[in-house]
Amino acid sequence: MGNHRGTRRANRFFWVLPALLVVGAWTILGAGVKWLGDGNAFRATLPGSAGPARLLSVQPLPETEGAQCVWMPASAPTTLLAALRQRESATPASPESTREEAAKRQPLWKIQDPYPSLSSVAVDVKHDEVVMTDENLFQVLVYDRRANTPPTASFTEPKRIIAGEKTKIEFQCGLYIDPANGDIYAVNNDTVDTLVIFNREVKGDMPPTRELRTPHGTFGIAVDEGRQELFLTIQHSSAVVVYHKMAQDQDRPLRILQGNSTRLADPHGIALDTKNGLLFVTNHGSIREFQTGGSGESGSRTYAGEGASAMPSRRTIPGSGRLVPSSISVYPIDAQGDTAPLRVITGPRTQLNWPTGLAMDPERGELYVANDMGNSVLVFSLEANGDVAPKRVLQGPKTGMKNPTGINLDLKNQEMWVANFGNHTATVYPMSASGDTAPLRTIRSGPVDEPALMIGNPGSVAYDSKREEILVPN
Amino acid sequence: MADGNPKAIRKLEGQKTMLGRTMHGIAYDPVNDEFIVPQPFAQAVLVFRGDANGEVAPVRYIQGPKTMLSNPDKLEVDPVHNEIFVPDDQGILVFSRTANGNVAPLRVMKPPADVGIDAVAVDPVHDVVIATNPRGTPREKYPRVLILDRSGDGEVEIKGVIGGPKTMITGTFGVRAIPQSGLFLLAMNGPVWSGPVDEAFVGVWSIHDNGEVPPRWTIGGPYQALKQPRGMDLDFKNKNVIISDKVLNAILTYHFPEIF
Repeated sequence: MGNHRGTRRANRFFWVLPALLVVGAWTILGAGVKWLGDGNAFRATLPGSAGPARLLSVQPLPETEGAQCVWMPASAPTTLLAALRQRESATPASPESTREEAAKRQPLWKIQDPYPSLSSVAVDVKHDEVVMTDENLFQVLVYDRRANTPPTASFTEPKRIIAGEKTKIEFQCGLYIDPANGDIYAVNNDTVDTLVIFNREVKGDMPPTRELRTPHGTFGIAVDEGRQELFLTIQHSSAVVVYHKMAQDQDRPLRILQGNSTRLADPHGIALDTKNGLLFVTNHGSIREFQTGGSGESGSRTYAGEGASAMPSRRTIPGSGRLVPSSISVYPIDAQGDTAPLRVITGPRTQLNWPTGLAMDPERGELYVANDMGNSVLVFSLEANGDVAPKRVLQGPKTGMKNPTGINLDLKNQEMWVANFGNHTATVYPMSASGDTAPLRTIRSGPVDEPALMIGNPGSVAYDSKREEILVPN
Repeated sequence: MADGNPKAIRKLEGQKTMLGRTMHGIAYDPVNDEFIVPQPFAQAVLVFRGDANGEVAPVRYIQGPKTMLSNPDKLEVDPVHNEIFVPDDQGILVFSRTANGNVAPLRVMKPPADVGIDAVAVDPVHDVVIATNPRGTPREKYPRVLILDRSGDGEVEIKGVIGGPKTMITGTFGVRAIPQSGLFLLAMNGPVWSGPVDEAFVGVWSIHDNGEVPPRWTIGGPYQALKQPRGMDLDFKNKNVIISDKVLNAILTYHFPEIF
């Protein structure tokens, strides 16, 4: 790898190595050779006695354009690399005024989705409203439950918006609505280790009504109102933590479910069957083992503001990682420690592919799964186990679903809500919907066919110089 | 070049890719036309063909007990020496670029015991690794950037340390080398992981800088468009710097010929 000078050089002369000559059988044997002719022909005498090599001829190469390597003779006082380094160190630091001007330079281009990306959804049945999290613009949006965005409209205006720095909302992915008072429990994912709870009336840039310090990487939320317990899945620790429902600030979890036997594998959604005492968790399939024991969450890496002790372990065992198929794991609702699941729904017949949101219908004994990469909702029996096909599958172009990540059941109105991370919509169906069924209503947060970039926490970026494309991991 | 809200040309997602929806690192290898992604939840390093699209498997992946991978969150590829550098709990793990399966690292670069490395960049021309130490040491307040010997194995020689108030570095995330000029870029994202940081910028230093050296240039700040810069890459042909920003949820491209 070397540097090329990209500019044209005029009248550059290069040595022509005397290994081959143009005409005749000239060879250089170390003896002198006389140039007897004019510029067009040579006549030579054979070399006589041995002697030092002598210049025979010089012929300029045609001028060229474009990049070319700079030839450095062996006797050169410096190497290319050294010359480059000398140039670098000689490069002065920029004058202050130039640096300040450059700092103010605006970007040429900015790739950004200007519309909300809906990641989770929950219905407030008592107040006839539906609440959604926006993982793109960091908002909680509240709509009329019966809203239906007309095809000609760009989007439906929310009734209320909670957003701003004071709210501590960032990359939210889970929601729970208190059925009694409409309080909004909104789960921050992997950048803010705080569960924020807002009174139903809150709007604008307001601080949370209540906050709870959580382990790093919370995703799904469910609440057992009877026992007043709040459940959260923790991606980064492959755990489930349970708090008192009214826990706040640095309150500790009541229970932690974590360990190699649990088969928790990048857990996401969570649902409770309080009648039968069961806990359901969706898993994307990444597993790594954690060192357990000790009083709290600790790890080789420290992150700013890690919370109280008695948190799930983050001390991973190096080299223990592996990938398994997506799954739904089922536990006793009061499971804790390194408890194995009662059963696991997994396998090709299940069609599970990054299953995310989870909801449960206690009347019919059915489990509803927002199946992200399947663009589908899968409905399983609560007793499902192993490699079983879903009872029903809602899927197809008429459904309007695209990367569904959130799901919620309105049992009063017998409707199923889906938050589609992939297309700025939330779609509503009858709970019994199956096949390629159009939604009853659609709430749009952006214009029809407006791309949803799904950029969320872009931690890095790469430039593919071959294709002139930008690669963004999320 | 893409601007506004364009439709993605390609998307790589789904179970078969071995990815997840929580990825914080990527590196493109222009020599071999591959891109490499760390997968922290499965303790893996995944290598994809440059034109990968849809739900496709990686062409190679490094995973297993011999790898020593614990929390691979970021990485860098050196196509000159055919190595992949992964900062992790036990130091900087260096793998062969073509490593596949349960393989041990070629070597492990170990900084001093109280120094945690978060991100690395490789300059194969000058044989250095630029590493971020985001939290400083127990005795020091400010995050730092370390210049290390690229070929180090075990206790690694620290050739330079950039840190202190005059550097304006109060937090670090991504780092990117510019081997042709001996410069490097650093995402200065402030002292907190969340929320907008008005003082944020992408700073430019030289690998020869040492001590409390201010940036030679700042891009996108302070007090400009950037709020929480994360990663950067370079378009050498057009002399552009491409930056991801977490708070903006955006990718910004700056024309900055001064550093090329």
